[in-house]
Amino acid sequence: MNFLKKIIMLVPYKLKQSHFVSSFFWMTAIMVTLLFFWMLSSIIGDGFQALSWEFIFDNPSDSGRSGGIAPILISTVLILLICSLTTLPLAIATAFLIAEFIPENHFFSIIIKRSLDILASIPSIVYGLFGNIVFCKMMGLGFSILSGGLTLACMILPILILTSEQTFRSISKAHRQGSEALALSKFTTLFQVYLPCAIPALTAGFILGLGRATAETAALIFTSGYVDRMPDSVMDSGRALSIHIYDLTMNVPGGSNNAYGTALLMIIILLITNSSINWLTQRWNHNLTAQND
Amino acid sequence: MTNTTRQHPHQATKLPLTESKNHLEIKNLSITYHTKKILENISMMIPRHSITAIIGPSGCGKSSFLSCINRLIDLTPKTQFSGEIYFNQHPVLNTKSDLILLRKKIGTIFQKPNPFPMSIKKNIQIALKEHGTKDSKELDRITRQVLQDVGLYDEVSDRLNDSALHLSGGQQQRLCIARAIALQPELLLMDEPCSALDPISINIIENLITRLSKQYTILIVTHNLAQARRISSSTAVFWPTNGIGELIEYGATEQIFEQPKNQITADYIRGYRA
Ligand SMILES: Nc1ncnc2c1ncn2[C@@H]1O[C@H](COP(=O)(O)OP(=O)(O)OP(=O)(O)O)[C@@H](O)[C@H]1O
Ligand SMILES: [Mg+2]
Repeated sequence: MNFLKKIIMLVPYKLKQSHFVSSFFWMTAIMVTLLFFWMLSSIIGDGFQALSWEFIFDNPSDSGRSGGIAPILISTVLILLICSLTTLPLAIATAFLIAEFIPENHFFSIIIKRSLDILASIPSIVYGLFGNIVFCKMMGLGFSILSGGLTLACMILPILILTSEQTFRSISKAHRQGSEALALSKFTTLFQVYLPCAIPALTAGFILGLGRATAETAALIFTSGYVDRMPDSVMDSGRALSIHIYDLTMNVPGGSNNAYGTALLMIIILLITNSSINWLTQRWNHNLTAQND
Repeated sequence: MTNTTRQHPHQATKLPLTESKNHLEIKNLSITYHTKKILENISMMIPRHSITAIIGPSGCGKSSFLSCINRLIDLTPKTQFSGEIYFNQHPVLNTKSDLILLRKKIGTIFQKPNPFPMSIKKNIQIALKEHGTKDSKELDRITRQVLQDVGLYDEVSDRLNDSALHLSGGQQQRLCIARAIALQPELLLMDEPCSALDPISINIIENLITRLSKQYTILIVTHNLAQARRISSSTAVFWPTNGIGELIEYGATEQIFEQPKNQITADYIRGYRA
C-alpha cells in the first residue's frame, strides 16, 4: 500500500487533475468485469444445452458422456456437509480461545497464528496426501466420502480460524466491557453476546471456505475417490462435482459438453447456497443487530 | 434475589468490621500503564448513598480510576497499580478478591450506551439468569421493576421483545442503567453517562441519578461542570501534573464551586483552563 501511495505521489498534480488516473481505474474495473462475464457466458453457452431435469436426476452412463450427475450431486453435498459440520464448531471454538484468552501479542498467540498462516497456504494436494495417509489408511476409513469431508475440513480450518479470530477481536470493546462489568461467564458471553455480533463476518468467512471446498479437486482425488455410483453411506467412495468436471475434460473424449453442464450446475448451486446462507443469517440477525455498527 | 446471601470470601478474614460510614475508601492509589504512570496518590473517602462527581481534563485518568474500582482494568494487559481500595471494608485490589461478587455489587455505566444485541428483556435478564435467578415470574417482575425505576417502562412495555438496538441513545443508556441496577448493586460507577445524549435525555438521566442516590452510592465522571454542580454532593478534581494525574482538590461540591482552594480548580471551573 505504501508503495502504491508513493507512486501516486510521483504523479504530477496536473496529471492527477486530468482524467488520466480516473480513466485508468475505470479501465481496470471494466476489464475485470468483462473477464468474469466472458467466462460466465462461455460456461452458460456451452453448458446450458446439457442442463435438463434428467441431467440432475439420472445416473451417469458411458463414463459420464451421457446420463446425469445425480450420485455426484449427492456425494458432493455429503462431503460438504461433513466438512462444514466439523469445521464450524472447531473454528469458532478455537478462534474464541485465541481471541479471548490469549493477548494479541503474546508469543503463544503469535506461534498459533504463524502456524495457521502456513497451514492456510499449503497446496491442497498436500492436504490430499495427508488425508489419504491419516484418514484413509491410519484411521481405516478407506476411500470414502467421510475421509474426503474430513480432509476438506482440515484444509479450510486454518483460514476459517484466522478470519473468525479477527472477527472476535474486532468485536467492540464496549460489549466486552459490558459483559465483564455484569460478571457474565465466558460461555454466556460467547453464545449470547459475541456470536450474534459476529455472525455476519463469520458467515462471510464460512462462505469463502465453502466455495474453496466445493471447487477442490486435488485433495479429494486421494480421499473420497472418483467412483460415480450412488453412495449408500458416507463410508462409500463418492465423486465430487469438481472431480467429475476434471475427469470429463481430461480423461473422457467427448465428455466436454457434460463437463460444461456440470460446471454450470456447480455455479448455480454455489450461488443458491451463498445467497440462502446470507438471507438466513440476515433474517435471523436483522431483528437484533440492524443498528449495530 | 439470592446474591445478597452469598458470603464474601474476605468477610471471615477481615476482623473486626468497624461500622464506618465510608462505602468506598481509596488510599494512595497509583496506576501505571506499561511504563507510563498515569495516576498518582489518589485518596478518597466516599460515604454511602452520596453522589461524587469526578471532573478534570481529558486524559487525566478518570476512566482508569473507575476501572480500578470494578477491576475492569484487569482487561488491559500490562497495568500495575499500587495503593488500596476498600469497598465495604473489603480489599478490592487483592488478587484473591472475588471479581464476580465485586462486579455484581458494583454496577458500571459506560460513556457510550452498550446494550447487547438482543431484546430489551433479555438485556436485563441475561445477568440475572447468569447469577441465579431462574423463576420466570421473578425475572419478569424484576425486569418490570427496574424499567420502571429508570422511567423506561411506559415507553417500551409493548415491545420488550424487540431489539434493544432499536431504542434511541437516551433510552439505550437508561436500559444500561436498568441492566446494572437489576443485579441490586450498592455502588454505581458512571463514566460520562450523558456525553452522547441530547439535553432532554440528559435531564431525564440526571433526575434518575438523583433518585437512585437514595439507594446507591454513585460515582460519576463528567465533563459537564454544570452537571457536576447540579447533581453531586462532593466533587473530586483530577489534574495532570507533568502528565501524571493527581487529585488536586476534593470536597463538598458547593465549596469547590464557590470557594475553590486550589488556583487550578478555580481557573478550571471558570473555564480559563482547558
Ligand atoms: N490501555 C491503555 N494503554 C496505555 N495507556 C492508556 C490505556 N488506556 C488509557 N491510557 C492512557 O491513560 C491516560 C488516562 O486515560 P483515561 O481514559 O483514564 O483518561 P480520562 O480522564 O478518562 O479521559 P477522558 O476524559 O477523555 O475520558 C491517557 O493518557 C491514556 O492515553
Ligand atoms: Mg474517560
